[in-house]
Amino acid sequence: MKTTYIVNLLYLLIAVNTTYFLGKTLNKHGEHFLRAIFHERMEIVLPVNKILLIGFYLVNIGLILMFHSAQLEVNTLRQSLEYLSIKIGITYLVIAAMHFLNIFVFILIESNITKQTSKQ
Amino acid sequence: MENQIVVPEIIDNTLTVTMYLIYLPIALGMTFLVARILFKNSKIFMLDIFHGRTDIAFATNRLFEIGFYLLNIGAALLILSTYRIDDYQQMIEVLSYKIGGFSIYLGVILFLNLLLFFRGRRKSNQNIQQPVR
Repeated sequence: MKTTYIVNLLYLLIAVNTTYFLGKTLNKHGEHFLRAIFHERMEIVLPVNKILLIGFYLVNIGLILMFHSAQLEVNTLRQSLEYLSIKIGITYLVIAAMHFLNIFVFILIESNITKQTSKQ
Repeated sequence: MENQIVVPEIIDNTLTVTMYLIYLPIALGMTFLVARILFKNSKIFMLDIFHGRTDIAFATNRLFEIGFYLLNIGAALLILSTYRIDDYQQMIEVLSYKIGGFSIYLGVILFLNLLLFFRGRRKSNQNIQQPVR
């Protein structure tokens, strides 16, 4: 029983840390896109960026917590390694899918804006 | 005598755990190597796609790199678990099967990425030619 707690705690630690650093990098690099979309108006770019970051954290940490509940009991090192790797693997795949979706939406909006401005 | 029985019970199966501990660094190292090489050379494509706007091109490159890491590490961890291993021959067989499968998967993903870059380049070239006509 104690091993299950430790493994779940480890999962939570790894997943939340990944989300945190991922959000920070996304925030840093997404700013370039937002600057292009809002034509360098920083008074809009910074709040929008912050709101997007908070939304990202909320969705991901909610997903992780929902997935966190222990389904089976873990007793040995081998079991805990398998359990941890499958859980983190699925979490990473879900986060990666959302991340790519985010990038494609950014690119789509950005290319539409550039097309509109070049037509004008 | 008692010590010898207790320790394997916590580990469960020493050879399986050894295999995991060999497989994980190799798979993660392969992912890092491939990602570094791919995204060092994809900067030129990104510059082409975004018509030489450096800040957006490099930002997109970095975002794709992070997504690539997430996807591949997730896949590497998902295919980790295996059955009970009893001797070294089995361990090497399982290990080579897993690393070979992961290597093929990485190759497929690499070519898909390359295809994506080519497609993006073609699309952005079409976009820039339309207003002129």
